Formats: sequence, C-alpha cells, structure tokens
Amino acid sequence: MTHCLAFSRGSVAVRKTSRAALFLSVACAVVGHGPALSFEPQQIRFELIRAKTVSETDQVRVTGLPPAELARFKSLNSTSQQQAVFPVSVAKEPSNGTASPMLGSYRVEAMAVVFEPRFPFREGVSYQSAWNLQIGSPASKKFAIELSDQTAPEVAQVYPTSKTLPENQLKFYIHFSKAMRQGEAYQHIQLFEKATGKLVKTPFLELGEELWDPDGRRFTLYFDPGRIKRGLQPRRLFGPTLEAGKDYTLVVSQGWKDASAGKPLKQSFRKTFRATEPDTTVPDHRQWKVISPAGGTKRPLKIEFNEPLDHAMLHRVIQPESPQGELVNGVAEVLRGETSWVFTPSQKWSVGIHTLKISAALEDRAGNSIGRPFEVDMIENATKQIPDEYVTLRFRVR
Amino acid sequence: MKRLATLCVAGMLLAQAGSTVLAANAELELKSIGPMAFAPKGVLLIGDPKQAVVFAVETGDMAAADKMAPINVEGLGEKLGDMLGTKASDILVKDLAINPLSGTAYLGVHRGRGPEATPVVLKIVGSEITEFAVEEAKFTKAALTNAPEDAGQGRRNKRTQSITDIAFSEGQVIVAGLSNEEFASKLRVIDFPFKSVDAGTSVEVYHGAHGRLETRSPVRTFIPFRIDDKPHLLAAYTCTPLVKFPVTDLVPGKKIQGTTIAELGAGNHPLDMVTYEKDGKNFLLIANSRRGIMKVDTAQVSGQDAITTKVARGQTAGIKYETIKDWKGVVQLEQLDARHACLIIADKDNSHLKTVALP
Repeated sequence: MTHCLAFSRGSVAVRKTSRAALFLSVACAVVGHGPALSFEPQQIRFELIRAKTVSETDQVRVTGLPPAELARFKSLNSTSQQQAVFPVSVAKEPSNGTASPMLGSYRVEAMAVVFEPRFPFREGVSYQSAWNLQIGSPASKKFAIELSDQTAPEVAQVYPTSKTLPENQLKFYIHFSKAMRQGEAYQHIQLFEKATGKLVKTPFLELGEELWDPDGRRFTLYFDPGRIKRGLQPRRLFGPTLEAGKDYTLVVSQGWKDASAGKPLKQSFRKTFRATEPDTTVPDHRQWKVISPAGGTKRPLKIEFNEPLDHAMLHRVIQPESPQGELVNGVAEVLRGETSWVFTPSQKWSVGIHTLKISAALEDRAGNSIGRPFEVDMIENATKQIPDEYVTLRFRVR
Repeated sequence: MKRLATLCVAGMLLAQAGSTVLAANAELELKSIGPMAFAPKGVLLIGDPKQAVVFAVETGDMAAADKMAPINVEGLGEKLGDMLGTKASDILVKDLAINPLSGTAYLGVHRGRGPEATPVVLKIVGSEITEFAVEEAKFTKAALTNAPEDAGQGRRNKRTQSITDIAFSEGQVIVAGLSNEEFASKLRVIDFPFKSVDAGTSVEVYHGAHGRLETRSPVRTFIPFRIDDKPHLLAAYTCTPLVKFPVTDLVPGKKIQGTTIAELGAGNHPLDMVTYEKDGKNFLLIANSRRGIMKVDTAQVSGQDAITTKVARGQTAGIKYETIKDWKGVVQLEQLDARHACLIIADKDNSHLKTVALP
C-alpha cells in the first residue's frame, strides 16, 4: 500500500543578483495504486531565496507539503532528524557518493518549512535539496549558483620590473588582476635556469601563512634567506639561489585559479632576468635627487633614487610634510623601474621648506634597509650608528 | 688561516605593542584564522592575522579527561566541505589545536580560498565534528601591531602582518609574525590573562652567522621548552637554523643572543613542533615540509653547544635526528596526550585526521 513519487531532475541555475524567488516546481508521477493522496504533489515547491543584504540569510523554502508531513516535521526534535527529512547538501557527481547535509537551521512556518544554511550558498557550487516523504520516494532538486564574474585572472605585473637583479634579490611581488586561491601559491611558482632549462630547487621561502595583501591580489614571494645569507648550510650545500651572470626565468603556472570563480590564469606568466653582483650596501637617501614643485600648484614632487627600491614600501614609507609640520596628502606613483617616486598632492603646495619623512625600514631589492644592511658584518660595522626610525630630507617649494 | 665561525645572534629590539582589550559583552568577530594554541583553563588562543589580533576564547571545555579518546576523521577534507556547504577544495585548514584538559580537537578553517574567506572553528570529539560558535563565547583580545604606518590620505596601505606561530608559556602568550613588505621579524610577548590595557613587548629577532654576520630573520615556528628547569623557546628561523633562547630574556631593551643548535637545511621548513617524554627521555618532533617528521632526543638540545664551525658538505649540522618514515604527508601535528599525537595527513584529493602513538 505505497505510492511512489518521482520528481523531475532538472537543474536550475541561480544568479546571486537574482532577487526573485526561484520556484522549483516538482513534477509528480504516481506509480502504483494507493490511497488517494491527501495533497496535490504538483503544489510542492522548493523555493530558493538568496540574501540581498548582510543581515539577511539565504533560504530554501518548501511549500505545498501535505499537513501530515508538516506535522511530522514539527514533531522532530533534533537537527539531525530534520536533516534526515529535509537535507540540503552540496551536489556531487554520483561517483563521489552523497554529501552529508550542510550545517543550518530549520523552522516551520504556517505552510512552509524553511532551511537557512549556516553559511551562504557559494557561487560556482551546485546544491541538492530533498524532501524525504514518510511514504514514497524522495523529492529532490538540484540547483546551481552561477558565477557572477567568469573572467580569467592574469598576472598583472611582477616587481621588481628590471631585467637585471642582484644575486641576493630578496623578494618578488606578484600582482594579479583578481584575488587568487590561497594556500597553494608555492605549487604554482617555479624558477628555471634559462641556459640549461633546469629547475632551480627550493629557491623560495615556503610559509604556511602565505603573504598576501588585504585584497588577495598581491603575493609576496621571498627567496629562501638561508641561501642568501652567507655561512649557512643551505647556501653551502646548494649555493646561492641566483648566481651573478646567469639568466633565470620565473614562471607562474597557468593552473593557478582565482579565488571566486575558480578560473585558471589566462596564460602562464614568465619573467626572465639576469642575476648581477650582490648588493650589500644600504640605500643612501642623501644620494637621492629631489625635484621640487612650484608653490601654489599641484605639480608633482619627484624623487630620483640612485638604485631601484622596494616597490611596495615606496607607496607607504615616504611622507611629505608642510613647513608647519602637517602631513601633505596626495597620491604617490613609483616609476622608471622603481627608481623614481612621483607625488601629486591633493592640495596646492604651500611655499617654504618642506620635509620628507622617510622610514628607515625602506629597503632596496636585496633587503638592505636605510637602517641596516640585510646582513651586518658585526666586526666591520661595530661602531656604525643605526639611524632612528625615520630619516629626513628637506626641499624648498618656491 | 682562521676560519670564521657561524653563529646565530638573536637580537631583540623592544617596542610598544598594541593594546589589549577586555571584551565583556561584545561579540567576537573573527576575520581570519592563523595559528591557534591552548592557554590554561580551556582558553583557546586564536591568531587573526587579518585583524592583527590574538583572541583568547573561553571554550568552557574544562572537564579534565583521565584518558584522551582517540580522534580520527577519515576523509576530513570532504566532510568539512559537506558541512560548510562548499567544495572540499574551497576549504583551507589553517591550524589544529588540542585542549590539553579534555583532549578535544579544535580546527581552524577558512571557507573559501580568497580574501573573502569565512573563518570557522570546529570542534572534534572522536570522529564527530561540530561547529564551535566563537561569536557566542566570552573572550579577551590583544592587538598585535601598532597600526600599520599611515600611507597618507589617498594612498592605499597594502601592508599586512602575518602570524606564523603562537604559544602559551609561563603566563605569557608569545606570537611570531612576518610582514608582507619589509623583512623584519616581530616576536611579541604578552602577559596572560590579557589585561585591560596591556602594552606587551615587541621583539625584533636577529639571526647571525659565523660570529659576525647578523641578519634580521623572522621566527616561523617555535615551541616552549624547559631546559635546566628554565623556560626556553626552541625556535626555527625562516633561514632554517633551529635556536634556543631563554624566555626570561624577552624583556624590553635587552639584546639577546640565541644559540643555534641545528641547521635544518635548504628548503626544510618546519611546520609544527611537539615535545614529549617517553621511556624517561624527552623528545622533540619536527614536522618538516621536506624531511617528513624529524625525531630529536632533546638531551642533545640541552647540552648542545652553539654551532660555531662549518659543517662538511652533505652532513647535518648540530643535533642528530631520526626520520619517522611511516608518517608521510603530515600537514598538521599536535600532541593529544603523553603517548599520542594527532596528525592531519594530506593526500591527493583529501585529508585525514588520525591519532597515532608517539614514536
């Protein structure tokens, strides 16, 4: 004395931006002969509602259930029992088995049962919701959350930009057009010796906590300092990672996917450079050329460095101050292979002697900061004074 | 000709750290999860690198267990994906911490792989995984850094300060970190329980070589360890040497010199460390990215002289160790009790949480 309900298995795509509720009508075919149904199966609807604001929650609503099913659901007293009747889960390929129900909470409304997932449905993931009737086959429906942005990511730039780098180069900044998947960076980055095509073994510092900027679009890649620093076993066993006079190619593999859409890079990225003699001297701000702007204008202030400096830090650690000691706001650009700093103020320059406040932490490409070299020879430099937190330069605006 | 010896110098420049705030009725909002560790009385320390904050969360999990139940979750990665409603590949396990009182495992994960990832803390008893609702827990917090240097209006600051390790030792929380811009190390020491306004101390760590070459070098992982009944840290630098230094030296204004006890070799990056006692001897386990699990008799650590001479090509410098060959693909290592450790082992498509006897 059973009746069996078989429902259509079509899948429905849902856009995040879609505010309209999605109605998944359940087509029903009665198989066999049983007592008259106490409800119209065609009225059963799975309705997916996506949250519009942060205070709202995604929902799956089931309506059109027979009163007996509603009453049964109301009588359930644990989430696991509720999940057994109305599971919502990630849809998997049949070969991968069935997913356990996802975390969430249930509530019974007048004529509906509502599931609110603990975490929002994710773009690019398909879900399966089902209602396991007390008698009969389960009703189930698959729905896919469409990706709102399907563009493939690209490597936008790698700093330093120069084609020659000191053999004690400390790090690269790899900039992407989109936020990338984290936790797998080192799988996608390799270094090759250009002449032989040989892979350079263990060239980089691999950290469990990868170093990303807040947007997830800039990755900081350190060379293994154990192979830069003199006298340590890694360098003794394997030599320095880079050797002056040799050419190298940094490769970012195409397989690296972006974080939201899971699209691989449009193409792999290659940067070829030649290693030159190591740079062991600290940046000397007294060697910089400061080109003052004219007073009463918004013309840029320019600094020309005598060597390329750290691209990221240059955006942050040089700060002009007015003759009154107030911060001058504006936009800084780093140009000409990180040898030039151009600052455009948001207000017109006032006349008088301005000060450039420069953090002594500012580094060159080899990690030598104004404050101290990457590696200090404690015997030769025992008497050298380490500068304060900041150094200053003055310039006159006429 | 006299050969220059290599030595590691850990110099410490102490600076003002951020403030610590007691959050009486506020809701804990995690923005990310980095390393985690347990303090006494079931307090879970959660590093949140995105906010540069350490949260001390009262788990209420204080029932002391006489015998720890084994923790085993086969197919952990898939299960986490199912529970959190996404693909297993979208889940990133950030750290595993085990409450030494109860033997309950706490897993910090990110749901999502990008900057928008949602941090989630899960609790595992036996093989049952449930969510630990951090937002409902009582907590205190300590801000780790001074605010990143102001880049001025209209200039975007992309500097972040990662947290590479965290531990509780002798009434203090010790935190290691690394900036995504300048190569300077910050080892931070904060008295615990966190006070209403606690300056803490920020310690810049140096690493020297052969008696004269000194580098700022961040500590990537460390473990509290008693040597001659005095609290020490065994710490691994990013440039591979393993050093020891007394915790009592972490005081403002003092420059300390760490002692190199081993060099781990190129590309050998320690992920986790565990110390334990077996058959009257103390051992140190180092989960290493390339050498698997290294087991070290710590009698060597206590007695080990600083490495002051170069080591012949192909040899290992400093302490001797054996490799635990059976433990492969270990990405997380935590001690469960005196005799057992919990491992997260990653294979091609999945990960598994296992309890194993300490070797």
